[in-house]
Amino acid sequence: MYVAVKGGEQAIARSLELLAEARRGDAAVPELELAQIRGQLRLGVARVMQEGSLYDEELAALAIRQAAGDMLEAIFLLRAYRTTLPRFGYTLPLDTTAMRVRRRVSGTFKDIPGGQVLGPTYDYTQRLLDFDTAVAAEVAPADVPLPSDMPRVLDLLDAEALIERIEPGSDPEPVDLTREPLMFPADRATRLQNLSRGDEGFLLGMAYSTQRGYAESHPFAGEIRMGEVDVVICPEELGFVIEIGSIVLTECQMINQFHGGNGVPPQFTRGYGLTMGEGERKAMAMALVDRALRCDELAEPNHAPAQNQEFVLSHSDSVEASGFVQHLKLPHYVDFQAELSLLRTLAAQHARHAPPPAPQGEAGRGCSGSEGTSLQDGLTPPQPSPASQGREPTEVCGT
Amino acid sequence: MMLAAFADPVFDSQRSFRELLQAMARPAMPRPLPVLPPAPAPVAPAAMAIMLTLCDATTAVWLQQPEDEAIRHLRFHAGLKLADRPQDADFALVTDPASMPPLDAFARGDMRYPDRSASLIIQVAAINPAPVDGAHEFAGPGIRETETVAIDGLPADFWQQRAALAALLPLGIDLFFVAGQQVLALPRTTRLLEG
Amino acid sequence: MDTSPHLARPHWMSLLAQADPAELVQAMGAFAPPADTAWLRPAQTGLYMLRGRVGGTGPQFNFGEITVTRCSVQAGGHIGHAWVRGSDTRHAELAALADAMLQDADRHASLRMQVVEPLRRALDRRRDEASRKAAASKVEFFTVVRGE
Repeated sequence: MYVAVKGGEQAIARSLELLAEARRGDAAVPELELAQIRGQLRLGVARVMQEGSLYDEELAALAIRQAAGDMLEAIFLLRAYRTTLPRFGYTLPLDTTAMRVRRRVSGTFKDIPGGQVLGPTYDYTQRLLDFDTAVAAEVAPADVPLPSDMPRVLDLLDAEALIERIEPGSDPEPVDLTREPLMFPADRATRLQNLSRGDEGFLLGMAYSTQRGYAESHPFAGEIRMGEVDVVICPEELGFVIEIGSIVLTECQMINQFHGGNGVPPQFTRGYGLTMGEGERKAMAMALVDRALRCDELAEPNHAPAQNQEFVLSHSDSVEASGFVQHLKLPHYVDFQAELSLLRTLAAQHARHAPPPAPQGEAGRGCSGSEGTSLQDGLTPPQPSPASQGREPTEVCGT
Repeated sequence: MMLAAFADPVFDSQRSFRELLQAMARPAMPRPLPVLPPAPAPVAPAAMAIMLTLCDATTAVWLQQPEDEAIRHLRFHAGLKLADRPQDADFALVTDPASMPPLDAFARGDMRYPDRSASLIIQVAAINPAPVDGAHEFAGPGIRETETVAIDGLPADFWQQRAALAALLPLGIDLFFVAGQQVLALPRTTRLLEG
Repeated sequence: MDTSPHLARPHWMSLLAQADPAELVQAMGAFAPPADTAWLRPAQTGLYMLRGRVGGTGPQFNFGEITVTRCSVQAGGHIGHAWVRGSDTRHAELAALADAMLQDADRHASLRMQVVEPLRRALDRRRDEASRKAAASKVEFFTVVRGE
């Protein structure tokens, strides 16, 4: 129950001023410009765009500055802003095969057509703090550009019929979670939209759990590619397609060993991750979780948290999660008074009726029962998974 | 060559939305729309104002008289998609009420989603809020006692059709009537009083 | 490049949309809008939902949105449209105006020469440079043969 509480107006006004002052910091130091954030914090901008579910570097930079670097707050700001804009339509599917590649690596094949291109990556840095403000070296371009055709690494396995094929099929109109509520069971397209918006930390933890044994997972990074992809639309007014600009995307194709089942022969199966900007860690985590969530389709045992779509998809969104967790700090004075009075009554009954020594924990049970129902707000209580009930995690060795 | 729409898309649609909200909150009471945008025949400017305000690419609109010019204009300015059949429409524009399909041809929603029902925009000859010949009395939420209004140009059995839908609440159809600059709303909760 | 106006229009609209806004402003500076110019649909920023494909090639899914500014103008007896990524209304207005003027047989050649072609060259140059920089980080493997 929420009860309007009056008062505190002055305090709120001063709090907003304090926030603005704290955000700005030392006025003698120049304020951050959006171009600096876009240019020098590009990975933060990419994360805010991806989880804010809105590709716009300028708005993401503005959100980061306004949120004083709190990424989840910036993501919230971007999500809130997008609701004020009209929806013009849907783009044609992004053609990542035609990506103008800036980075492309494979963990499964050394020699791939088009080659392995490292691009800007932290992978080969020493990860030591660098105290020198060294001027960045200008990269000398190679004499020849990369080939315009960079075939997908996984297509190499396709020739041997060792990997599952993914073709559009009937290509149904996908569910749009910005328009329709999440319903279970969610199909793969719906799950991917949810994971795209999902919190990187949550997905990373879920992905890690599949590697530690909480799912039947033996993944390889088949291909990771990052680069520019054209955004193509077909406005009704024109009746033909136009490119309206290009965006940077990171795509990860994970491949997983699969022993066969549900009528599918033994082969490699795929998990898919796609992120805005340079978001390799998120793309990899997304691909692992995507694969884990396919357990029912592939008739695999479903016992790990990362395989439970209701668990994963309902808790992946940082905007929803931080809202519900943080609302607890708002006034619950009346709620709490009710709990207090209930507890006092129970304690008094306990003292009256129970002869010493008292039976164990009666008052405690009564209280936790009522709290449980009030907190769940009518939602289905989460089912504890077998994995959380004492199943030993098994270490998976690199295979 | 081609007509413009709201001169100021954001503010004009916000002002119009406010009036439509008020029309729904105070049913059976006509009120003037604040902005009348250009509209190609057979669409009336008031009906165009409603569609520019409420319809976009996510709403399916059924046009009783799908004239090419009107379709082109609506697609361009509202971005809406057209529904081929009345039962698929989120919004329906009735430009010739005398020959309109029966009300039960439109979506009434289902028990889980009563909102997945059609809203009709009906262009009528006149709206007269007076106890004249052919006037009806209405009551329901948003009406203090009763409202009396005459709506001209509807099919003879229109009110019987609407009364038949009343039993289905919360399912039903919401109606906007426009005449000149006036708009009048009859949400599904508004009852027609007998005699 | 195809020069028939019907086939060329998607091409020039794409180039105008992908132009660096500053370059477009400069290139269009030489062209005054026709006297009858009327904004049919003023520049407005909205969203397109980006669609991806499961596994890159499979069924579609909704990936996330992107800001797009669109604008339509009636000028010199032609309707010009623009859709550009981002929220730059000036970019969308100039692109729509250029689209209308490029449909005009009298203006087409000079706009093509002074606006479209320079934009195309600039875009090609940017892409070529980025590609050659990436190519500088291409791995050359040396396989060490053992046991023989």
